[in-house]
Amino acid sequence: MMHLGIPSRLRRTARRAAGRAARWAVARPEVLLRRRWAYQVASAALPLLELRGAKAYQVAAIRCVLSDFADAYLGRRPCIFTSAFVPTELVYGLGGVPFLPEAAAGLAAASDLAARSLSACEALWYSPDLCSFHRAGLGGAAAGLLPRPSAVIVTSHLCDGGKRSLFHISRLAGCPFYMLGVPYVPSDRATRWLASQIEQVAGDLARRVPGLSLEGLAQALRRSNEALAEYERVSALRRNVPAPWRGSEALNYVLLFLWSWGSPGLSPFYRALRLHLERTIAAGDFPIREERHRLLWLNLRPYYDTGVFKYLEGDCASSVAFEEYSFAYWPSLDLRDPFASLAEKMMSNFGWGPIERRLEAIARLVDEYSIDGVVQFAQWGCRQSNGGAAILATELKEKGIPFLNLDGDGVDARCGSEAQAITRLGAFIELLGARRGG
Amino acid sequence: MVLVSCGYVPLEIPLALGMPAKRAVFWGPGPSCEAYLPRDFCSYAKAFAREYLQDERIAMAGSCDAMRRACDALRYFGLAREVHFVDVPRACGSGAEAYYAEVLREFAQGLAGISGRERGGVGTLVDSVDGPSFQRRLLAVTRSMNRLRSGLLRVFELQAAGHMSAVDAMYLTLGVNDALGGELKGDLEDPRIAAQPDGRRGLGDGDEAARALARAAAVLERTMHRADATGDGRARDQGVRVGVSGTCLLEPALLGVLEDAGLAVAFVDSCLGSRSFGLEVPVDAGPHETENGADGARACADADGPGGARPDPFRVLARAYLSKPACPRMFAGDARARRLWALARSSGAQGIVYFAPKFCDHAYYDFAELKGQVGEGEGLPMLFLEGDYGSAISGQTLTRVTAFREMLEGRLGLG
Repeated sequence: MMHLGIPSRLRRTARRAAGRAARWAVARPEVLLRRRWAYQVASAALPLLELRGAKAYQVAAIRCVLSDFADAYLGRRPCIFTSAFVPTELVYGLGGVPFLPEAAAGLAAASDLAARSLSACEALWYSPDLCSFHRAGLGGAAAGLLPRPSAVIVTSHLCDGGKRSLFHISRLAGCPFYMLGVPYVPSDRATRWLASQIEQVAGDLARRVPGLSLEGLAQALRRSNEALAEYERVSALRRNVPAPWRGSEALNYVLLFLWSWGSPGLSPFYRALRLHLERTIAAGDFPIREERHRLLWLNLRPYYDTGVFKYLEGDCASSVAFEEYSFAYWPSLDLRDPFASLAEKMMSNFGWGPIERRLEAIARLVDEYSIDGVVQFAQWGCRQSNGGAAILATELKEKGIPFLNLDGDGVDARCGSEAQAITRLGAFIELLGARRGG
Repeated sequence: MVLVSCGYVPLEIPLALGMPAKRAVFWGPGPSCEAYLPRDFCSYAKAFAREYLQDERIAMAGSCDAMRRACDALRYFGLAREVHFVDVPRACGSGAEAYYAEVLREFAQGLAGISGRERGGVGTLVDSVDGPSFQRRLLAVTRSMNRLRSGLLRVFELQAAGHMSAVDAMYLTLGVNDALGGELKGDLEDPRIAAQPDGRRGLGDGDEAARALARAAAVLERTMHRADATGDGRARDQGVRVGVSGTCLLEPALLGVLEDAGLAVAFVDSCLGSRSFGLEVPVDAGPHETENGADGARACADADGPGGARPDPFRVLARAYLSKPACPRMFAGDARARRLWALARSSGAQGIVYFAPKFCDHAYYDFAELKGQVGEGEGLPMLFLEGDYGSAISGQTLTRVTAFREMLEGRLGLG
């Protein structure tokens, strides 16, 4: 009879490849993340952060992430791993806590954890030509850096790496795996099919995973709508010229944008951010006072230490006025028909379906945010985004908007070429300057 | 002619509409496509980015992120006259079947629009895709395709038994594929084609799809006949047996390298191999069948129509195709690993050669999963090779294959 688990020898190899960064066990992140006292200390330190100059929205964001990490790592709530575009309202509504390995990979990139995770993934025979966000997520799970999932949910739409890497993670953990098939073209029939899948997955999870039930679904949707309302105000404020918020920082908060819809912590974060932006605009205290150019940033960014944004925002006085992955593309959720509403949210993702949907979204953002140029961060291995580069370039050229396809890697610092990126950005900014007449 | 990008898209549909159709196979290095798609795209997706002839239509499945973007590029840059996107689900199950049945119906409607326009008005060949004439034609085509698939499966069985080289078997498969696409026109005068009933029954004489099916059946029959006549039916000396797996694997070059290196190919798990030819769409002519073969058709045990009414033929196709042996793009749990292991055991394969087109994400993930389960888990050696079309015959590949053979022989005590 065939043995179909992941061989323990392979797991050990992955863990060895991940190595051990800290000399003392207690200082290792994977150990700290599983200690109750670590979260108590971190929570107690939050007011000190404010005293030392941290903004209220930054503290609110940390509080939101800490709460979820504590729930996930300490096992206070069932942890459900999801790919990036699973509606997290479903997980919070069931009483679980979501964990997005590909988003966590961005956090890991800021420490040595990404390198360890990538090594662990390569030890499992995964090609370095795959997207590093997914490789780091998978390697992190194999190396024991992630919490233990009670179940895994993925969607069939964006992107291939997310669903396949999470499938492997579900096998490592020996937990249930669910895939929501998202129809390519929206229609009533498509919505009904997807809604029935979501309902089926929710019902099955409530039966199979202790601690989950559907009782909190309405509350999660209500929280999501509240956060969306706040977020739309934030987005409106970001249309201000000059930009009231640094895009390099905004790109860090894409993590929460992907992760926290339905969470009790998201609405306070966006409220605090809104207040901060209002105060910034009222006081004229803009991060780039003499803003020369406004850019729209597509896809993610390098999350390890890089001088790219210092150059762009400092030396070039150019703002990332808005980001593609910060665009709230869905309408308010309908509490009377939660599953259909979540289905509509998933299908309204502009990255899914014919590329004209993405082109329309980008054209809208260019218009709304007074954009001078568009930069796509061409994440190595990201076929769904990079595959549209030629079309984007053609379309934007016809509209008279310069476009830069900037090769790089968001997680794997070995593949990031900072000097080359700065050179290309510099040339792009020169082009924008020439168009403006100097 | 309709060029189809994926084995999950039934050729039966365009053929039933009178349009020759084949799986798109591209030869040699493709034209540069960097104006349309990035460099780090798999060679199969990139190969689609080319200008097509006026009579070539493309049916692209949502196989992966790269193919979706290739489809966008074809449409946006107007490289092909017609591009149809076929949204193939990633899993099977009743909901997915029902959804895919509707996708196939819309695909047929889209093609029927072309078919009608070309012939000066809808309804020359079929009334509508839900009408009796289309269903009658679909039934006839499906039967012919079942016979072709069954014949090709038999070819690979003979090949596995050593009666035919794997390269020859793959070339035969490609020949049948070309014939279905209305190519191999030189065979039109072959009297055996005129005698082939397969493509004609239920279709009528004057239609290109009928001729394509007849030619495909003739190509298959002629090769088998030639093998008998030349005495090539003897089992050859066998080397160490290996199975071949991968994503699309649409060219014989890799198989040639394996055989040149002295390995015997025990099975080919690919789109043009056992994954597709093991499929039989359940079309069972019942007692009420008319001369043209439609009314009494009982397409599958689970009749979808009320009160034993005729089932929806698109649902039947959807179910059959989604249920065929899973390819790397599908989510079927451990089914792929189980099947590969079963194939290896039943065929006596001592190792697996896995071929991936460079930058094929599905292949990268699939290999790692299979390597963990079948390779490391079961101790079956696996060799991973990647390359573009045509590059499988590089000296480097041959060196790696030879080393793999030596390793296998060492394990078997044959060295």
